[in-house]
Amino acid sequence: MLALFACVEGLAQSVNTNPSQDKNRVDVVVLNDGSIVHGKLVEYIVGSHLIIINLEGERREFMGDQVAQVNSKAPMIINPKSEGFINTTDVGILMTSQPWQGAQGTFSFHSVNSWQFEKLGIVGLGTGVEFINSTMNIPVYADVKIPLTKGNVVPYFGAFGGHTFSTHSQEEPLYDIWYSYAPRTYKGGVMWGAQFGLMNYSKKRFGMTFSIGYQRHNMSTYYEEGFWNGIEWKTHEIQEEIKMHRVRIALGIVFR
Amino acid sequence: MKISHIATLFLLGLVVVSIWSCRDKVFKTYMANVPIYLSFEDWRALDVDLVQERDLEFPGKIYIKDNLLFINDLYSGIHVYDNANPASPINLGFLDIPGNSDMSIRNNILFADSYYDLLSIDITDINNPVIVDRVEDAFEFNNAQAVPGLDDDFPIAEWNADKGVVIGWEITEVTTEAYPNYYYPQLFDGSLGMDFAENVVADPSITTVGIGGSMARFTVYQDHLYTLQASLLTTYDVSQESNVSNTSEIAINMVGETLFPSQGNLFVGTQWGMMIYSLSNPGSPTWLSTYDHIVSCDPVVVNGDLAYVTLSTGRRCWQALNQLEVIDISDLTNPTLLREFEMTNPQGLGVDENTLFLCDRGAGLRVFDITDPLILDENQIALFEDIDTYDCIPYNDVLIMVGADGVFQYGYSDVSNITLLSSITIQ
Repeated sequence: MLALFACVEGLAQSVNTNPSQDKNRVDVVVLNDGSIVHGKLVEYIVGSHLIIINLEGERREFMGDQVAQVNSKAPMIINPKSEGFINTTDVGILMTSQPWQGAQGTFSFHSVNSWQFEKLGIVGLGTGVEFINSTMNIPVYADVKIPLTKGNVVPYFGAFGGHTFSTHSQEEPLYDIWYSYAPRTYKGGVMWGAQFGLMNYSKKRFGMTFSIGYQRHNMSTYYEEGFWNGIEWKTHEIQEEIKMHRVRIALGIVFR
Repeated sequence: MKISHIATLFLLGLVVVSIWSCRDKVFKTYMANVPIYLSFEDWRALDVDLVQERDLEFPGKIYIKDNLLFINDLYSGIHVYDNANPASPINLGFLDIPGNSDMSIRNNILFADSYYDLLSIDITDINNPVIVDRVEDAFEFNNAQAVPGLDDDFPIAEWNADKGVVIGWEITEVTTEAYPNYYYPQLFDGSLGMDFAENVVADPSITTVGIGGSMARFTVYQDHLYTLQASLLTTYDVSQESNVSNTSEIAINMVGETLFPSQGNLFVGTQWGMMIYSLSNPGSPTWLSTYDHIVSCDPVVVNGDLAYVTLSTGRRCWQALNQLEVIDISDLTNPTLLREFEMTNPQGLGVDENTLFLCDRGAGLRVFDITDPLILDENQIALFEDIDTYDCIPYNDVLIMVGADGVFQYGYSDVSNITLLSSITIQ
């Protein structure tokens, strides 16, 4: 976990969204009333507000509807609002090098509806579709993301936990390890994990997201298995629990 | 690329690799027969007492010594009866010997196995038996699933021999990591566990030895005890009861099943044939010959120059024939098949002079006149279809038989009209 956090911090520091650090840059702001202000942009949220330090060293702030034009070599600071509804939807792949009877890479689709709190972070509920252990499953989970910076590119650290529901019905046959017919009841199971990622806002309300993380599933099934008791064949019930480790890499969109 | 970028990517790769190497694990939870252990220390500290009589549950070997009838109850001990009147045997009590499956008696010493050990028990006063010697680790015990108490509706959980001896079973939930290892119970119906030492009273010098059945794995000849376990024939000098010593171990290279001493020789029934050893040096049996047959369960009895061998199918001998073979052993170095007779499922057998008693499961008890053994099938005296037994001892006109239901004694003074004298049934 420390390594994971260090990765995110390193990534965050590599993303420079503060235009005021460019000492030689002179930005030009044209207002709707025709006036022109020269200086250095501190913060510009399109449609919201603009903060500039003029050549006299004064800090000037203008509302978004006062600004007609901005000539600046600084990257536009989209920097979405620090509070409000946010949705992240992504498509990913769950990967492992040592699967239990399944593929090494399987499809994963998640959609998380959250609320961003200025100080707490992003908290929400997620669901989706995943293919695990040769079955289709629906995860339902609580999700927390902690943005590490403000700006166009926002790295974050996230964690989630919940339950995965299996869509397979009872009596559906699946070849067990003995390669014999074994009708199973799929119960799903708990899931949790952690991730770090990036949200890259290209618009005020829209952006792309990339994440990589760890996902753990404990999936349970019940089935009858036969055994020879020395006299005759008998059956008994077995609860099988599979503890799965997956690396999830996902690409998606974020909008608010 | 900034150093921070490189460090970030390196740590990222490290995390991914760590997670990547994790292996999915599968656990299975189910109800199973779980062994109940008694530690080695506690088990070997046990004395053998004649406790209050208890019900017969899993009849095993039988042994007769003087007027006493000993009935093994598989892996728990030996029932002792005063059998002076076979029509009314009196239950004297139960010798509590955990892990016991076999026995033999010389003088007043009862030799009995107890899991891994060979016990010498002084039964001069049957009410106060005393262990006079113990040979530790005389046997391999890898048959925990034969210990009674299993519930047939559940599989057997893994048995750990290092934890002690198995004295019973309980149904408990177990969780194992796949793949599960099931130990299936070899639920002997008694025929495989039955060990009747052969009738050895022909030699007056060994009248101090008791009498057992045709599937003995323990037998006594003069001052030596012979035990047969799987492929190992072991000889013990028991001339000093309190100092039993191992004098010989012979790997017979076959799965041994029965022992029968006769006229200074030892006949070993195996799943692949009958082996003949000379006991000219009782402490070190010498191999003479082997009579091969198809893989089969195989008790043997000897009468004069003839050996009678039954071959049968069963759980342990799933491929084989069901027949009785008559073998000429006049030349012990060259046993020769004389005749074979088809049977239903022949198990134990016993001979008294010219009468052969054959436990033919599925058919009943067959009684043959073997005056001319080569045509014994034409001289079947009687067939008792209602008698289900897998071994018998004919002795002094009393036929003691053991079956799944218990121990039964029949009078055969009139072999065509065998009459039930008494029964000791399982409860």
